[in-house]
Amino acid sequence: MNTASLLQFLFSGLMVGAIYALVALGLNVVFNATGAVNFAQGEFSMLGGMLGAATLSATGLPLALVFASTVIAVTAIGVGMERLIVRPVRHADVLNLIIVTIGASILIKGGVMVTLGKNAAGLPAFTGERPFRILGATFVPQALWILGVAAAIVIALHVFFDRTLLGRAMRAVASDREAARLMGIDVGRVVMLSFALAAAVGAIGGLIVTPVTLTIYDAGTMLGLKGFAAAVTGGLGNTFGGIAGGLVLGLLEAFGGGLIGSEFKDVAAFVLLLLLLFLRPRGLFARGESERV
Amino acid sequence: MGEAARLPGRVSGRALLAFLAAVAVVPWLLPNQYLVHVVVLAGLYVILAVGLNLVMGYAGQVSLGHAGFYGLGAYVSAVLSVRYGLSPWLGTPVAAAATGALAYVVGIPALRLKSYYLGMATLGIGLVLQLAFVQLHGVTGGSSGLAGIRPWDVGPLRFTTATRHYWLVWAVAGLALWVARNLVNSRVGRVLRALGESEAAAEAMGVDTAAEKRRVFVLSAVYASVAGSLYAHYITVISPEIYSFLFSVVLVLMVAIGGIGLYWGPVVGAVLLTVLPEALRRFGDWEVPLYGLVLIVVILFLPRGIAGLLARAETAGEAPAPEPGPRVPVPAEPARPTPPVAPGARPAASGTAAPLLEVRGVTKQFGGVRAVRECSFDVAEGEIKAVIGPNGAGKTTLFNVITGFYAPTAGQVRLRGRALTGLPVHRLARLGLSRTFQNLQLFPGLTVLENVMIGCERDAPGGFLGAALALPGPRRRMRAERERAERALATVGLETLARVPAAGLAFGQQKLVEVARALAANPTLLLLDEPAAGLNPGEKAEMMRLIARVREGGITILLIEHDMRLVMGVSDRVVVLDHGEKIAEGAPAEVQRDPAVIRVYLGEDEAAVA
Amino acid sequence: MLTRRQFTTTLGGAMAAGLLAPRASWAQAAPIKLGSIFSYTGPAAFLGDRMKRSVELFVEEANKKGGLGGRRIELTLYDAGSESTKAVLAAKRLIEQDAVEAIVGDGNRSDIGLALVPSVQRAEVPLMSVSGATALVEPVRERGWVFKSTVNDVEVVARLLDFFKKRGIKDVAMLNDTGAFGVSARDQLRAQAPAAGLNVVYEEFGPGDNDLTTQLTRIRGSNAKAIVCWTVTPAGVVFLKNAQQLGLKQMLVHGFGFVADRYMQLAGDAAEGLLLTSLKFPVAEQLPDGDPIKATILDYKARYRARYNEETDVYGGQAWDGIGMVAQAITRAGGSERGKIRAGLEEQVREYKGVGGVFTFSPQKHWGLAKNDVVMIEWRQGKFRLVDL
Repeated sequence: MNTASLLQFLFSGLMVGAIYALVALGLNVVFNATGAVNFAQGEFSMLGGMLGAATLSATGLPLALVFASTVIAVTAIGVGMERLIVRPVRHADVLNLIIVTIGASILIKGGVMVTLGKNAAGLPAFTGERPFRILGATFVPQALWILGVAAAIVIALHVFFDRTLLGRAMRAVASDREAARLMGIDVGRVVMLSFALAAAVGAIGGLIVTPVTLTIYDAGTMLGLKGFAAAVTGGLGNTFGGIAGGLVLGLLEAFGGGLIGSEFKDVAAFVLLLLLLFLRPRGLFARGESERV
Repeated sequence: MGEAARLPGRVSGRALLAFLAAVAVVPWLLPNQYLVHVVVLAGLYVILAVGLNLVMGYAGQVSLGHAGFYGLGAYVSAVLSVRYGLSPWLGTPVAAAATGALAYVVGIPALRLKSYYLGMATLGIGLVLQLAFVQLHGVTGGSSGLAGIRPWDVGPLRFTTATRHYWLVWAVAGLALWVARNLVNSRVGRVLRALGESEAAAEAMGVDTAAEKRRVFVLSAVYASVAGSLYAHYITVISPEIYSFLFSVVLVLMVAIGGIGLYWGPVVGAVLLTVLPEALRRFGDWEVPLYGLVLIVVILFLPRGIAGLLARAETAGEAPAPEPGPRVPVPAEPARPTPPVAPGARPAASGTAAPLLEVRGVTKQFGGVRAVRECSFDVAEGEIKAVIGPNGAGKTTLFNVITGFYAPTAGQVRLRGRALTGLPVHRLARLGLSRTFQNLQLFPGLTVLENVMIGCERDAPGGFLGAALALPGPRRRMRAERERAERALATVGLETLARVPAAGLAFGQQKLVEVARALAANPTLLLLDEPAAGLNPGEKAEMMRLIARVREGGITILLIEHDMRLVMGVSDRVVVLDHGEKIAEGAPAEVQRDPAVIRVYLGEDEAAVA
Repeated sequence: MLTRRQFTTTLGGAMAAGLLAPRASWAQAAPIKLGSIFSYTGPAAFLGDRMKRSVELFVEEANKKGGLGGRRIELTLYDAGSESTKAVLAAKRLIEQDAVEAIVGDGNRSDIGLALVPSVQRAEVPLMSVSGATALVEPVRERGWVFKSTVNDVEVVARLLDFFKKRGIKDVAMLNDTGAFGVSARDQLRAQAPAAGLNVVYEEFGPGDNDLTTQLTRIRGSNAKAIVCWTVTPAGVVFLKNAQQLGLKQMLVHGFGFVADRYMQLAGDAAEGLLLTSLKFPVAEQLPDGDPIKATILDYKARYRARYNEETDVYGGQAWDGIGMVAQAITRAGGSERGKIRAGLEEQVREYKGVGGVFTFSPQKHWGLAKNDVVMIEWRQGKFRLVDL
């Protein structure tokens, strides 16, 4: 294995890891607000890619406009999902919430299949496809977009959660729902906002990665699964741990697949999940917590 | 667990028999073999769903990998039949054993912790298993699958038609339902319901909650494995794609749509979700979004599942649970002479023997906060000792260290010379510790008697298999436990409320139930955390008398209290804590006069005056 | 108030009777009942759509001409949903409830097709498979009721090896997906490569994978002069793009499951110069006029285009041939009972000019195509072009 190959694995791992990180981010935002895992998170990314491709081929508008309108549309779908499907079950068991998101993911997947078709779809790369070479390894410009946009989202969210009132309100709800409500925070609004945020982040993730990976109506499932593995790796609910988890997962897949064998690539994510369970179930970055009896 | 906690306690045997009778009639009502085949599949899924429901409803955990167990059962018996010609009658139990063992191993770490860890572990296992089925293609045939699996046969009789398989599959399903019913009706069911409502209290009563959950999880994996073997030798062709994550999700949906934790829920859910896709066939592509829509609509309108709707309809006909009515003051003296709490009770010790409980240098730190510092004291056999101090003094933290809920940062706790630190909570109960909780940890969905019976758990580890098979031994034991519980209830004077759901009681009565529960454990040392909190004066007086009665029965008592009258009236000795440190210890009267104590409670000036 | 038991039994009975009931059929000269199982939802769906429409088109046209021997064809189509359990349910429904005489289509995936074999063998109903695995039709004595309207991958791989020999290529990499289609081909290659004197490096990927740079990097480090990718999923497009990104100079070849214009378009200029193994279908216009099936292919393409306003593909063609041969068997055998159809297929299908090739079945051979029905094509300047006949 020479440097060029190792570097190639590194690029591949970072790129794929950034996507998992974004899915994990969306999952964590909703988990923090509701306590439930949103099974439709992967579908938000799929929608970003599919709607983007459909809008582009139908209207021919410039890519930036397609990007913006798609993100808005998917965010609206996320909010719609929250209002129509999630909100009515908010008082029930967390399990009901999860079931309802499963139903939503099937509905969205089926809806896209029936309206936008069963074929794979792609998007043009934002700034062309001429690969760069560094020390014998290559990557395409889109990979830079993926990493850059993902990083920008992470920074923006960090600022949001840390500096803005709304962001801190969301963190309050995540920490203790009842106390937040007693302090006058509108928990219902926070939940809606968390879905909007998760949908937007998901859609952006889908849009930036589709030029490289293509998308198809059932791409959401695997993406959601890997994103969940990433979130759990970082500690479910730990917003920024999920990002690290995504990168760890992506790198593990790339290096594992590259150095051990391609069979390992598929298994990597789930072997990681199991190892974590046995050794560090709270995730790599979870802080300790104690429960008052 | 909220709503789902209100699980039915008993499943009628007659209902099960009636159901199975109906099932027996079905094949003659169906006009063709296709429909029979549909119901055969439904039967398989019922087996899967009943097992999963035990995990989800009673153990309160989601499994996202049951398709993997289903697949393991299928592949193990299939491979054994293809490679070694092994009969499915032998292959199925071998596969079940293998699957059960795997579930056991996975369950050890996964069920130690709460919430989503089992979901995560089973997700991983399910996916790894499916990948193994694909990758080990030398053994499993890989993605193309395994064909030529030996079909079911009994001697010369071959199972060729769907109808023959119907009998086989539904016989197994009936067995699965019977075992599930036995569990639900037994102490295992009661224990599982209890730990679903308060795991802390269950642990404190001696229930090894992780082990109980693990056993149920292993059983559900065995169910799945048997269903898998049944399928493999019926269809005679299997492939890895069947055992997908999506199928695991469908299984969860079956349980949820049917009604989690309700006995008939998985039956309804399995049948519905087998028939639904077939019924939606005429819609072509639209079947997929419609399926999702149906799921959403059912959960939105029937949050307790479809069986939940039927359950409500049934209970509407029954008499409502008896109202506690106006607060009946608990009688000043129990109506009959107090029986000893335990036969052969230990006489109150003279006080010169070795201490029962030794607390030595216990410190508990949370991050930067030291809640308890270097606390040391003894509790003599047969005495009543109180721990007092202003709010935040560390009293409950100290209790939690003694009872094993927290591990101390430093220090030791010994019971009759035996070190307690580091032992899990349920072990401490078995060593003779019993407690009540400051914020009342009853099992609201269980009846008063069932709550107290949980107290008997410390002597009853295991017995899972006996309960599952409804053997006479466990039933006899349950009867003995019931009697013990009734005696404990009599001690606190609540024997008339035995059959009332605990949630329906007044607060004062609930506190008494908690004490009764702790007493049913026949403890050596009873820890009461603020027994008088929230009680009116009459109730407090009764509580004082109760505490005295309990000590007369030979039980040592350590209690936390704020009510000075109770403390002074009942305790032999008092320990005072402030900011985590012991600042005084001695007889109540001494401590009352101690200037350090006064300062802590009343402030500097008052101390000067006293 | 209904008891729980009564409720569930009534519910079950109502559903069984009402929702699953067969559709009424109008009575005329007794129609010929045929069934069809394709996957038009789920991962295999993008193949299934065109197959479904091709079969529907055939039946439509046949009925317009008065049917087969004066009897109209009644076609019942079910979705296998890319799941073998569902496909088995569909087969049993077709056989037991809809009482069809033959089934065209096996869920368009090898593992699904294999799952159907016991059901059709036991019920003695002819099944026309459209999937690649050789195990579907071999050994014939255990597959007496199964026929196949496409080529076996053993022949495709043999053809590919011939091509490499012609071009003097001795070192090759095989990158297949882990689905039934990819694995079956890899096993064929493993079996045939030593005799052909070919050295092969084997890598694989999951059908849904979206990054293959890791595998390609490993291949780059080997001696391989040609890289063969074998899949039906969009991951095959990612293969092309990644190969371009890595600047790989090796010959790129795709298997016969990837012959689709829309895949080439998705790959953009990364597909330029890509070689593929294929039936003659995509390059029909370039075949010499004397070619036995050129006219048949063009005719089918035109009809499909006229009816559906979109282009068909080689996979739709497999279904078209499948039902075509069943129809011929019915016509020539003079009856539509299941046994007669089977006999008709075994004895009456000789030099049948299908769009996939020229089919000949026999009692010993239930697959009709051979190695010389496979050609090498390439994608150049927006079209498939014949490279090696």
